[in-house]
Amino acid sequence: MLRAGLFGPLTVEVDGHPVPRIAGLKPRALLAWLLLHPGPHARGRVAAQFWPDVLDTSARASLRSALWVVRAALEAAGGSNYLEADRTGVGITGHLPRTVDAEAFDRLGRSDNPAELEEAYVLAREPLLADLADDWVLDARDDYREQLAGVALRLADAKEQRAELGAAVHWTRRALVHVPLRESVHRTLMRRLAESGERAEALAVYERCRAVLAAELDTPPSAETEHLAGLLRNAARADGAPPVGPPTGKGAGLAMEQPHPRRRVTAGALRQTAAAGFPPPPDPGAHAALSVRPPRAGLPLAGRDQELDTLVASWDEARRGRGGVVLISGAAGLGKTRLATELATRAVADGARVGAGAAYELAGAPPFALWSEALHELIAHAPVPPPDAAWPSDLARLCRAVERQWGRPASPSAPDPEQERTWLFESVAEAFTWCARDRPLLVVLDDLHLADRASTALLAYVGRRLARRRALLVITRRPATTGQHLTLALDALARGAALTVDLALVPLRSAETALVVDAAAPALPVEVRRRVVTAAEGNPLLAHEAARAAAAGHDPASGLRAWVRAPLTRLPGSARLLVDIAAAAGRPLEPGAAGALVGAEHLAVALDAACREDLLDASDGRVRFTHTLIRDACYAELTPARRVWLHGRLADVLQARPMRAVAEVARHLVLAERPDEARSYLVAAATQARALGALDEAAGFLREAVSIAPEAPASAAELWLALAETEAWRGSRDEHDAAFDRAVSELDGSREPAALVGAYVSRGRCLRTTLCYPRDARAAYTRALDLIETGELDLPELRALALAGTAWVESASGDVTRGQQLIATAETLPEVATDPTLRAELVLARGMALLRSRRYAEAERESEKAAQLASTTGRADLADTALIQAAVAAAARGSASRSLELAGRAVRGRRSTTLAATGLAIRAFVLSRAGRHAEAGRAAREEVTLLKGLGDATHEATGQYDMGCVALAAGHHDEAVERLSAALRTTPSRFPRALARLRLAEARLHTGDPDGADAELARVPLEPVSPADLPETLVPQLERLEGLVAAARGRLGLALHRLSSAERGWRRLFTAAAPDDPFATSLVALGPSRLEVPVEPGVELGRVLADRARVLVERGRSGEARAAVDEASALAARLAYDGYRDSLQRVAEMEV
Amino acid sequence: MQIIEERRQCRAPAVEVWKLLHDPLRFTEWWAGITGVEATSDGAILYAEALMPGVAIPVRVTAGLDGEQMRFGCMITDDVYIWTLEPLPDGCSVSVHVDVASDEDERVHARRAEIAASLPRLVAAAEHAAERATRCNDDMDNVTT
Repeated sequence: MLRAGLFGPLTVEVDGHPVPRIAGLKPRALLAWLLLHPGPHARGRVAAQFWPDVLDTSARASLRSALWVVRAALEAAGGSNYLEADRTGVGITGHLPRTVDAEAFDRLGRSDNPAELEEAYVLAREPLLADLADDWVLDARDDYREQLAGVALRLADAKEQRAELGAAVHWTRRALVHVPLRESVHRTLMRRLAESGERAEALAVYERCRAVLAAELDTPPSAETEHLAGLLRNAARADGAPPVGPPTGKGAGLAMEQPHPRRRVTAGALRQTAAAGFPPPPDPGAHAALSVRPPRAGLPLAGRDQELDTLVASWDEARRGRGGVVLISGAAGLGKTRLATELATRAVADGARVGAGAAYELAGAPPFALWSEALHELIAHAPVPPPDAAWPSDLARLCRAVERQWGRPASPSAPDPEQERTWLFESVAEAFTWCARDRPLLVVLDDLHLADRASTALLAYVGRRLARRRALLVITRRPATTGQHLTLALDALARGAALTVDLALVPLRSAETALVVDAAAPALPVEVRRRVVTAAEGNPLLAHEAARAAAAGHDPASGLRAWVRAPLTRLPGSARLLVDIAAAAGRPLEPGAAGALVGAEHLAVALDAACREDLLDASDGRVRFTHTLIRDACYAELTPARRVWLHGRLADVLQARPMRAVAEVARHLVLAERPDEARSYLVAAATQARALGALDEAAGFLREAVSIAPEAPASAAELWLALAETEAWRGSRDEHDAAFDRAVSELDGSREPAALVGAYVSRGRCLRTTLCYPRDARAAYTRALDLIETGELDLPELRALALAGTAWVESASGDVTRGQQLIATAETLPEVATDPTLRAELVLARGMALLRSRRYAEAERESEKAAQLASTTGRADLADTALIQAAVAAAARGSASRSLELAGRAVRGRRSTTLAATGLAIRAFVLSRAGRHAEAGRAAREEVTLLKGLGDATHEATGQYDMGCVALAAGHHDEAVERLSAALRTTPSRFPRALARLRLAEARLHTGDPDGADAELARVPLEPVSPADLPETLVPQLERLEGLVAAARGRLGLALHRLSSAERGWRRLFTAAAPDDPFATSLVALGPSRLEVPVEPGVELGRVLADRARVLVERGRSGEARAAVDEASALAARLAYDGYRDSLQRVAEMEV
Repeated sequence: MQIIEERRQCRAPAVEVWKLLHDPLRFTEWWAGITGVEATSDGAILYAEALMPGVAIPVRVTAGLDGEQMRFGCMITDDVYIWTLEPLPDGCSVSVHVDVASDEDERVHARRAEIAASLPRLVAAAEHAAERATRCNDDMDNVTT
């Protein structure tokens, strides 16, 4: 008999023998899934479920490997016969006896017997598969939570029918814990409480319902709920009971008591709705205000008039359509947030749409968290975009409010994280444009110094798109803790003239500080007041807190930690718990979460007490500290043991919340010292981060996961391999190698040959695709094939992948003939034939081999076929790559129109920006080659614009390089100097730097600056050169320019010497490469995607001949000049190259 | 693994040495023992007829990240040659670092001898090219086309 427990951590035993803990998250999750879904399943379906973002063949190989691990674990307990697997299907057998708690829950939960229902409830008290965090687990956990709520409600109904009202209320409360957003359950509880005579508590439930709906769904209660609340209020009045209404003040909407008399009602224009606790029904104008927290009560804005004027002026400009980014810098407590809030208050008064987000104070927060928060608020009140707009579906991956508010579910993420990131960034930029369409837009992003890298990259992207929008982005940061990534993002904004204001806050003067002190504690003795002002050192927050401490009889110089101690000790238990929880959370808490943590019935009292002490604030509907420094001080007061407990509570509650952020749960699990669960959540967080293109964050989560030492080598290897793949996507070869080596060293000791083969195949793919080291990729594939052969392993999928990978590598950069043979062999394998994406890759590889063999027409045909195949499998990225390759082939065979058509197809539609830019680069190249310089310039400028929009300096530099080359060919030499200089100022670079330096030298020469040109040539040896730059072609190019510099200086003998040397070099390359081929073609990189276009030694030879002819004419050697011109003309005609015909004509005229 | 390091001053500008290092077809001008060269897509195939008649020696040529380095990796022996140029006011400095993949004395001696012969030849070839250019400049009638 197999017994499996799926509630709580996965446990399995067979005939009383426990199945050992399965090494590896994927195999463990696979067994759990099979147990939860007993019976046979198609292998393809299971593989796609667990490995959705890889080739079908890879997924099937991974499934085979995972099943091997699962079978071994079951075998150890004598239960391998429970797993049925053949070539087509896999599953847990239905022919052997088993007891699975989830199945028992399903059965008992359908019963009408209250005892069985209670049994079901007890069975499922723990979360489903608590040690796993895969998406399907989290979804299933939500489903069971819903079912659990249903069981509790049915029990409540049963109790009510038996007139056991107390028990009915009890079970309804339990149901509400599992479905806190379900309004009908709130109503049921209200009704049952009222029937129990607890009207005040019934109305308290109503208030909590309002608070939860407003904070988490941005919606008011339904008319039905309002009607019920009205009945309860009327009944209370009829009974003569004191009115129970919503509170006001900082705890508005959450507190159930009247505000403390000393606190004025805050909010003014921002929160006029505070009197009602929560906002009225939808009204775009009023909703514009909701996202902004009102200024803190009692803390005047002193000494910041000038700064505020600057901000307001910037806002006025933005309202007139000249938007941008405003940066407010300053140390903690100087009033950055306060200033931003003041501006937001004015923006609201102007009828603006306003959103705000703040970075989490916990390290390792979910990527884009502050953007998600700001967007959540914007989307809640913005009009619904047209259905044909694609961006909302991309945005939905970042912000789930899109689906709820606009009915647009998230589209699947792109297989290429870089592409995903571009789409995501573009969707945010589009959302800003949309939200600024009907009214001005102000977005405040607070504490950017704490933000993740992905968020700062998004800042650089979006900030540069605001110049002609009625939108202003206000960001705050502490300079002392600003990381390099934020500095780079700010530099990018400044370079693009998007940073309209850079405001650095300095400490207040004494008189200004005194104003703050007086406002906080008006009656302080003069000497104490002076000490407070001195102790504050111009920091308004410290002045406020020190004044309050002094007024309470404490030493104003003792520091923030000492000041918070007194109010903390005064707090009642529930309030202290709330403060501690908020400190551990490191971010504002939604009322539902806060209620779940401290007990919903205690929340109001707790919050009111904490607000009275000026520690917490809930005026924007969420529970937060009045300032981050106060939070830091309160967190510092926690003992280590209490911190561990608090983080554990937070993890438990947050993982059960709707729209949970797994990265945040992971962080709390780490701090709660629960390593096994933390590891699962960190891996899930990495998967989510990768799906959003946040690769730095994904790598960070995985590094942390591997630092929590797993119990088995196979588990560690799984994590190291995931990290190796992520590092490859980040372009970090060294980090990839290090992670892969760790994976292999773990697997060497695990005696799992299939996993080792899988690791080498995975490495091969990383090296041949994302990292582009084809030779090393071949070595990895060869190793995989050796392991299969020597171990006589039955691993058909991995063998197919290794063979196909080797074929690709040989075709792309090795032995073309062997490559084509391998492609033919690989295509006969059934695993390849049934994997359309792998087939498309092989066809693309064949196109590449043909291109390298200079069989351009065939290369073009095969590449286009690969594009069609890739399109049918939904791989737009692969299709675009194939189209670009086809365009290169068409250009190489001299068909400009066809090349333009193919490149144009790659550029159109909702595609990868970098590939689109590469298409434009090819278009510019082809047009330039054809002498259509104006059109080439337009294409190149479009490319530059596209790449600038990425907010990535290296991409932008590539665009400048391409534009510089086009300008040089067009004879726009000043522009060429400007563009190429700009490109070369950026390091690292993706364009060929040595070639760029040569072209800059040529441009300088043409502007009449031979000395400048000579200086550029002297710097060529200091530029990096890769094999892709074709070093042997650089030498004659350098010599040609040396000759032209000499000619410009009147040193004609030297000029002829250099030009002759260059001519010999090109002649040698021209004839050696392909004597019978007019397009003796080499390949160098062009455009951001490092795809390749031809370099034509014949063309270059003609160019040198023309140059030499010009010098010969000057030397009076007209006969030799004529011969050179004739040969150049013949070459131009033969190669269909018009680029230097004009030049030849001028030489001919000189000669005449 | 054994390491060999040599360094020499060159009166020619760095660019003249760079041209010699980057043009595989000019390797015979300075690389001791190399009698023939065929350029390949990522380096060259060398022939050393005196030492290994008829044997093709493929080398992979890459540049260092900082640009001033040129790296030759022999794909048969796994020996790696790293050439580094440093511009000086009156020429440049040429350094070579060789990682000899084997500890065999014979191999190490052979490499040391090869470098001892090649480095001066490389410097001399660069200086000769520079002098020739100067001569061309001084005396236009001596121009070789």
